[in-house]
Formats: sequence, structure tokens, C-alpha cells
Amino acid sequence: MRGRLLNKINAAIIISIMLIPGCDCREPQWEATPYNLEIPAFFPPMDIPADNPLTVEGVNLGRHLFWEKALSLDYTMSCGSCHAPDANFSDPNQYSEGVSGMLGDRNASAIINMGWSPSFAWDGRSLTLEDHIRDPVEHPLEMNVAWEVVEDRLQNENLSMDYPQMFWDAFGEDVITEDLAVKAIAQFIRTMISSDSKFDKYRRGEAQLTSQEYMGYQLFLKEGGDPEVNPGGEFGADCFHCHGEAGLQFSDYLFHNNGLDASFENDPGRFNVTAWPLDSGLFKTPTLRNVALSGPYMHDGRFNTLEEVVEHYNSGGVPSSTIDTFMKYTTGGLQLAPAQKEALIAFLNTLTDETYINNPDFQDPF
Amino acid sequence: MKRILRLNFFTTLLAILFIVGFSSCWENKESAKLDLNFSLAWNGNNVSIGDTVLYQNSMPLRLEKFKCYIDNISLRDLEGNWISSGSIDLIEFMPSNEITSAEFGADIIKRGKEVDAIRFGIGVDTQHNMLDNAPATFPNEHPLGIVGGAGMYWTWATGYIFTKFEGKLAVAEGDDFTDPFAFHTGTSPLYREVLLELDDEVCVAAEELYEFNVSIDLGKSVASAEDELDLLNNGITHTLDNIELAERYVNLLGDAWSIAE
Repeated sequence: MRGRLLNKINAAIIISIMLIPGCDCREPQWEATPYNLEIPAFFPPMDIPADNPLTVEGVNLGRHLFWEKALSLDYTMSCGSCHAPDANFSDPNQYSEGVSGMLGDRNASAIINMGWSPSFAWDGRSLTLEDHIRDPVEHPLEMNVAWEVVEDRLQNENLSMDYPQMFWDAFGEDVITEDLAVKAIAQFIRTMISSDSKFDKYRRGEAQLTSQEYMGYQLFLKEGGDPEVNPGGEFGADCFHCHGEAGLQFSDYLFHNNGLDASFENDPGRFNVTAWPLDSGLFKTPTLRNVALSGPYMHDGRFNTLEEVVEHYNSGGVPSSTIDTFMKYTTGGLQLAPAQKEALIAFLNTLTDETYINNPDFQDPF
Repeated sequence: MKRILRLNFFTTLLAILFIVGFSSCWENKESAKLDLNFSLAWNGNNVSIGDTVLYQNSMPLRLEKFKCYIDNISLRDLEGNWISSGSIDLIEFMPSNEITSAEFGADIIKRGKEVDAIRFGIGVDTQHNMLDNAPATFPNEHPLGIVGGAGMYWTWATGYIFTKFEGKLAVAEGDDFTDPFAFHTGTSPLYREVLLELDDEVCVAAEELYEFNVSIDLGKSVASAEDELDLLNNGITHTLDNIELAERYVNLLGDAWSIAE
């Protein structure tokens, strides 16, 4: 009796085991590999959204999407078209040309250490990297294609990459969506960290600045102007107010009017976002990392060289209703001597990070 | 005898249970919360950043920026002891009023404490001001972090900017605002404390919210019966480059705060 019962149990177990491999009803298992993001010395922590953690698969997908020309109306442009590596992932042209051949109205910002930025675009209209990435795809002066079209292309067209599989690997989702695409690109951009300039090495005690570079560094940190006419002046270059080295980011992430124009009809800048009159003509402070490679300069790319930029600040700028208090427009500018200007530019060149722009992980994979 | 012993035993047990239960009850309570609702004034009149006021009763002055750290809001009990919150916040008027909060642990406040004064620092205490690798040490959105405290850090040698007050003057009515003034103060010797005496004693208890309106009179921060700053000819300081002016300004600013109605 007992032996018969045991036989029945054994039979049931064997049949169950035989049936398991043939069962098709289980969900496929998905698990992405966490991406180990290394935060460089002296940098602050990076805030990564809880709903978009970095994964190896997500970053890889983001890199391919960043360089994918199917994200433009006529398959001619990718994000990388206006954010070229050798230009510090910005556009060496004053304005970028979109798929329609029309020019944009602001200089393309450099993509560098954006994982630390609390706002995006020259006027700070986007508060998350994910939101900022949505814009250029549909913008009529840029890639000019609806996200629905992009979703369909990535899902159904015979592109060079198996995107449905890559999205599955990255997110465990079968259906490709705009949200997932921007998340992947944001993951990739958060890995784009520059921390290997000569100045970084100097801070880490791995390199020395030349006497000229050091002189430029000291000018960078000193108040500007002649103290006789500018109370508080130290004959410095006054860069640190907006491009402070806190966290080695070289940007205060705030908005300033640095005295480019007397009026702002062409581009009111931050005012477009806040509608606050004191924000007229204010633009976000860009980082100075790789500044020597990021030209042309300013929101409208009006200056081609660092010499022109330094000369602008040296002049004190153009007075206007919202010009920043620290522009020396009423007192004849910074009044830097030629050797001081050269020293300042020598220091700015120490912020160049060739390792960053040549990093194979950031290049066009196609 | 045996019954008495048993009674004593149960009484003691009950007392212990009561004490343990009572103290753990406070541990589970939420803190008392104090909100300070800051607003700006110019010589007694409410103003906002962006407004134009009259400097020395004749010169138009446009208020463009006021930011400062509010450090360690504390309450004074009736025995004169200070109860510290350890709070730190950065207030900025762009252009709306600012509220900053402090929490006082329920274990400190317990059944309620009568308090008769509020105190806080203008600035960042020395320990935090001179931390290695600040502001990167703090979470980004923390008031002392790289985003939460954006634009409020000089260098490792000088630390945080405690206060910023900026604006522009027009020499005469109808003129453009061309002449800037700016007070950027910092460094430990220029840390100031504000003491606000309350008209009436307040009983502060755990889990309760207390709100006070505090006015900062920017007019008084540049002129008082004791001192008057010349904004037109000597109106810019970044502290170390014009320490005398920075010190005069923070001394005036320290007296420019009051409990508002």
C-alpha cells in the first residue's frame, strides 16, 4: 500500500519535471547589468533619477541612439551631428544646420559633465536631462521628426542595429517608446565625464602648472578692476564669480547677463522661461571645461576665439538694464595687460581634456 | 506580608512599564516644526526684489538680489537655555518671499517648552565653512551643496559666501540704473547672529507647527543711526578685498531683522 503511494508520487514528480521545459507561459527573465559610474576626485556626487539607473545595456543603447540618424526626418542627422567630439561635443559652427537646411538660433552647447547640471539649454528651460533630450528630435530647426515616427522606425525598420533586442536588454520592454529612448540617451550622456585635464592632474598632485598658467589661475580667482576706481578690485580677471571651481565644474549653473547687448529683442534668454524682467538677457553659465575646444562662444556664438572672449570681459561689456553687477562696464573693464590676458588663456587651456574627446566609449559606433 | 510584597512588586512593575512606555512614546513623536517666513522691507515698507526704492530719499535704487544663509535656528526657554535645531538653509528672494524651517526633536521639547526668543546665524558656521572639498562633500541639493548652494562658494581658502545683496543706482530719477553696488560677505569673523525677542511667550510642543513672520529691512542694512554706507562711491565688497566695508555691512544687516506682524 505504502509502496504504491510512493510510486504515484514519484511518477507525478517525473511528469512535472518533463513538462516544465515545454511550458511556454513563463515571462522571459530580464536583468540589466548595473553600470559602475566612477565619480572623479573632488567632484560632487551625481544625482541619477531613481527611475533611470545606469546600466551597461542602457548606456550602450544610449550611445547608439545618440549617433543614430534614424532620429532625424531624412536619416541625415544624429545628436552627434551637432555635438562633435573634437569640438568638445558641441558644434564648431555658430549655428547648427537642421535637416531642413535652416539654421538654429543659438549655439549648440557642449556635452560635458552634464550629469551634474540642474538645468539645461542656454535659458535653463529643461530641468532634467531626459526632458532636454526630447526637444531636438522634434524641433523643426533641428532633427524635425515626430517621436512616434522614430518609435516606429526603431521598432520595425531594418536598421543596422537590432533595436528591439537592445531595448529589451536595457529595459526589459518589448515596445520601444520615446520615454525609453530618451532615458537611454540620458544614461549615455551621464557617463560623459571629463576629469583628466592638466588642471585636474594639478589638483590631484600629478602635474605642475607653468608659471604662466599659474599666473592665469590666480587672475581667474581674483576680483577684477583697479581698486582706485573699482572698490574691491584686485586687478584680477574676475572669472570665478560665475565659473567657480566648486566641485571642479567651472560653472555656477546660474544665469547672468554678461554685457553682450544693450537690449534683448532678439533673444531675451532666461526671461522666456520665467517672464521676470530681471531675467531679460540672462543666459546660463557654461562650464569652462574644454573651453579651448568649445568655440564659437556665447549663446549666439558671436566670438570665435578665446582672445575675443577675454577682450569682451576686459572691456567691461555693454551696459543694459540687467547687466551683471560684476561686469566692469562703468569703470573701464578689467584693464588686463597683454601678458595677463595671455596668462589667463594659458590657464584656460589647462582645462582641455583630450582623453575626454577621444574616449572610444563616446565615439560614433556606426 | 506576602500580599504586601506582591502588591509592591506589581506597583513597581507598573511604574517601570509606565516610565518605559512614556519615554518611548516621546521617541515616536514627530519633532516640533518652526517656520520662519521671511519678507523684505525698505525703511519699513514691504518690497520685493526687482522693486525700485529711494536711496538717501532721492536716488532711485533697484533691488536685484538678496541671498543669505540662515544657520542653526534656536529657541530660548524661560531659564535662558538655548535649544538648537542645527538647521542650515539658503534664502533667496526671486522675487517671492522665502520660508525656512527648523525642526526641534520631540525628545528635547517633550511635553512642551515655554520659549521667549528666536536666534539664528547669518552665514555658515566655521566647522562647515572650512570643510575639505566643500561643496562637493554635500548632496547636490543641500543648501551647502553644489546645486542647492549654487553661486555661494568662493574657494577652499575662503569658504562660503554668507550673504549677497546686489542692486543698481540711478543718479537721478528717470536715469538708467548704471551704478552697481554689491555686498558679498563671508569668512568666520563676519558670521553674525540675529536675536529676535518674542512679544509673548510661546509654548512649543512636539508635533506642532509654529510660524513666525520675519522682516529683513534692506534699508537698515545700508543705513542706521550708527552708520551709513555710501553705495555710490564705496558700495562693492567681496569681503577680503574691502573688509572694512564688509564688516560695516554685516553689522548693519545683523540689526535689520524683526518679527513682523
